[in-house]
Amino acid sequence: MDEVWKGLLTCDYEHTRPGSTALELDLYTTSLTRWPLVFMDDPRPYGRLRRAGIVDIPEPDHLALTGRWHHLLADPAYATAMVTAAEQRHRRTDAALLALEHQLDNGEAPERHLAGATEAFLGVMSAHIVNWLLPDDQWQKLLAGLLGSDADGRSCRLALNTPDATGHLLDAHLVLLDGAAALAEGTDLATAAGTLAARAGTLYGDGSPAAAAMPLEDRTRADGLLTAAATDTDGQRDRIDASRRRAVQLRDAWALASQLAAAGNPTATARVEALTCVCRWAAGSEESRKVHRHRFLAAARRWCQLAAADPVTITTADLLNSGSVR
Amino acid sequence: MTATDLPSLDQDLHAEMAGAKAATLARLAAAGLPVPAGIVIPVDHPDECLPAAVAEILARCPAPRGLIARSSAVSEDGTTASFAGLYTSRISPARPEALLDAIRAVRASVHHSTVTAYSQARGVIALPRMAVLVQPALRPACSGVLAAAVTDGLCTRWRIEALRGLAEPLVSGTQTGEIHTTGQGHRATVRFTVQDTIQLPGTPEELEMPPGEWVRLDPAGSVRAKIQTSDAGVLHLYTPAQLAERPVLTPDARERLLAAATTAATALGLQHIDVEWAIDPHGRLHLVQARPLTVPLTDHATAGQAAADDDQVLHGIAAAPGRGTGPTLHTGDDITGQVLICRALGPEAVPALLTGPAAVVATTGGELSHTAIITRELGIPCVTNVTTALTALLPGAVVEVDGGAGTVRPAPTVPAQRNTQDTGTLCATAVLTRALEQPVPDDGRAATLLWHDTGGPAPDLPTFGTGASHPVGVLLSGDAPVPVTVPAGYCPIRLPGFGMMLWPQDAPPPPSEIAVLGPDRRILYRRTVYR
Repeated sequence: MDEVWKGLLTCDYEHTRPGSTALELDLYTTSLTRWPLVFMDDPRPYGRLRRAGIVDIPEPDHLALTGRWHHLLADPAYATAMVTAAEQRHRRTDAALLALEHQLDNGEAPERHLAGATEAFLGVMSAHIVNWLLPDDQWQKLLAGLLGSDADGRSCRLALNTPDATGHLLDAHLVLLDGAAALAEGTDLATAAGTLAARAGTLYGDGSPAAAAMPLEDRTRADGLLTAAATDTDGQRDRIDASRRRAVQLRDAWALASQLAAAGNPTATARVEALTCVCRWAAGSEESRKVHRHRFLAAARRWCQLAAADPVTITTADLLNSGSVR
Repeated sequence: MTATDLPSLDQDLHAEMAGAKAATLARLAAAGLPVPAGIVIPVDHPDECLPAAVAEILARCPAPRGLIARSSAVSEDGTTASFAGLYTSRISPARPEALLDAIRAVRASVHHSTVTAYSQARGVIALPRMAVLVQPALRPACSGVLAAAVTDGLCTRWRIEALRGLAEPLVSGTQTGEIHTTGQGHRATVRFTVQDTIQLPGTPEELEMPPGEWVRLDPAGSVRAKIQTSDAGVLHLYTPAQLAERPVLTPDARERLLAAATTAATALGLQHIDVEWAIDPHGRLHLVQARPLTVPLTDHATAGQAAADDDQVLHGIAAAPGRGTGPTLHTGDDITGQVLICRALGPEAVPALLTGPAAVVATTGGELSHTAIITRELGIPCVTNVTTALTALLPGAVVEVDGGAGTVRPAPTVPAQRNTQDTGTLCATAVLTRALEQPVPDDGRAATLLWHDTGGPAPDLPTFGTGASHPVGVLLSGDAPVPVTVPAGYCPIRLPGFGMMLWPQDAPPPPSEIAVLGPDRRILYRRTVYR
């Protein structure tokens, strides 16, 4: 988001995500305009779609909607409810993607599942606003005031942004280590490679699977990675486990420190409780959104192959109405 | 006032009437140097006659990309004080009211408080006399500043700083330019820069285009740039990827610039000269200001190092706290003790990250980016969104990364490993925890306090004190009545303004200091609670 120009703020994904397909841009901008509905049940759109990839937001709308959201985010009850609803959307998306992938694997017509997965995933995509619309400055000021210094406030806030579940980069590597360990225990290479391709194939490699498959979606190309990974798998897993454990302990210790610092001040206590809940969720949400995004884009691309559609030019509307495209 | 009353740069001008900048440019134009055309509103021009002057300028000056109103004070550009950057210059659309506002702003800048402070510091008198030079706004391919010592008709020592587009970010210090300096044996040395945005005067049509639209950068229209924003007649454009890797100033352009500076110094009778210049998209050089160099050029090596120390602190987003120092590298399998400079990380990077790098610096991403998340998970100091990192930090350069402050700075050497653990003394402190650790830590603490969340499940009171060499109590925040059953052998203690403590009856009085420890036993936070 750049500065205000003639009363408008512009979100330009063409600039921040160059080389994206129309669908990728459309997913970002369509979901951006819907975030007030998704997170606050507020039907006012967040800005106007200029084209897929660019949204113009009148500054008064921006201030009104983000102001309302920031006010709500100070309430632990709202924060908990918002996080619960968001986690349900992730689970619904996961289920919809599984159903869609199953249909595609079987070569069956997946249009109904594609539309459902698109609708579900748009709700998950709306959460990408956590990257710049959360009240980070307010939280930093609150924590720095409670803990006594800007540095401690920053350390606390960064630690709170540690997800409950292992982040997707480490998780993808753990999938690889699982495969290498299975190989060592006698699983045949084709099976291990197939599992790796299915569980993490869309995550390896540069770019996204929107227009072309990622290298490890092809199980034959997963072979080399598996055999190369077959050294010190236990040692690597131990290091990851230890680091993750320490990161979570640090997060929980900072959460406790901020609660101790706020104790006796009911307003500060409530704000700390709410921000602790939101930070933890936001970090995890961004990790699982990436995984869902790549799975969704890969599935959409596979559907294009079946439907003789162009994965570079399709839009969310095409997928929501996918029955009519075929 | 008639349409020919205002003097122009093709006339012989005197500083008392036209100000130093305009008078100097007129001398350079008379010497055959490439100076853009300009019209001067003299020092004593009455305020009430400004609208007529504006009308005359608009009639005489075709300006498709607007005009620039520039200060030309009698006192500026002197041999001992330049007043550089203290007076105002304004780009304006070629419209009467806008240009009038710009001219008035420039004239008013003669009374800036910074001018008074500067003149006092330099021991000179700043006469409150200001002319205004109005010129068509140039749309340069690049522009910048040059400082040179001229001896026997040659620039013997010199330093050039160059940016794409207007030089304003360079002059104001918000952007470091590409730096060309005299090297050993008079060979040029060049320090490249990364310029995220380009500023250019816009046409009225371009200035009406919203951010996100595209404008043409070159006459042929083969290079397009996206609008970041526009303001005050100036477009702010994202630097196109196809230009990002190219040098700003070519060797040929540099030689032409040095030759022009030599001619200018001779024409002005100077041995040390400071020139502002621009090169248009057709490759034509323009001199837009010249004055005596008031700060001498220092030895090139020293100056370069000083500039490097100052300029090369890179700022990004604090992503994972901690400090790490080491040599940089852009790729590698074993990166133990080194600083990885990268774009967004993928799962392929995990094996290298597990080898224990000193730090990670990423060109993209924020606090919640995947690179930030994984470095926090692995406890590696990290700064993200250092957009220039891959070009500014060449492999092997030793840097210190402060992941809590979001900075990357040159470090002379890799320091011996520092022990930053601050366990402090716990002999008079109760350690607050959410769950009792087994075995009970023997770190000299005075007590352990179990935190009881308001509304949360009651703590497992019967297990209190099992095997502990120190008392174990419960801390409850809030002023509500006793919210849990007090176990046998414990008593509630009110903590005004905080809450309550459940404390063993047979233990000494509880400590007033309560601390929370991190996983490495470092004290994260300590608070005194009064009874």
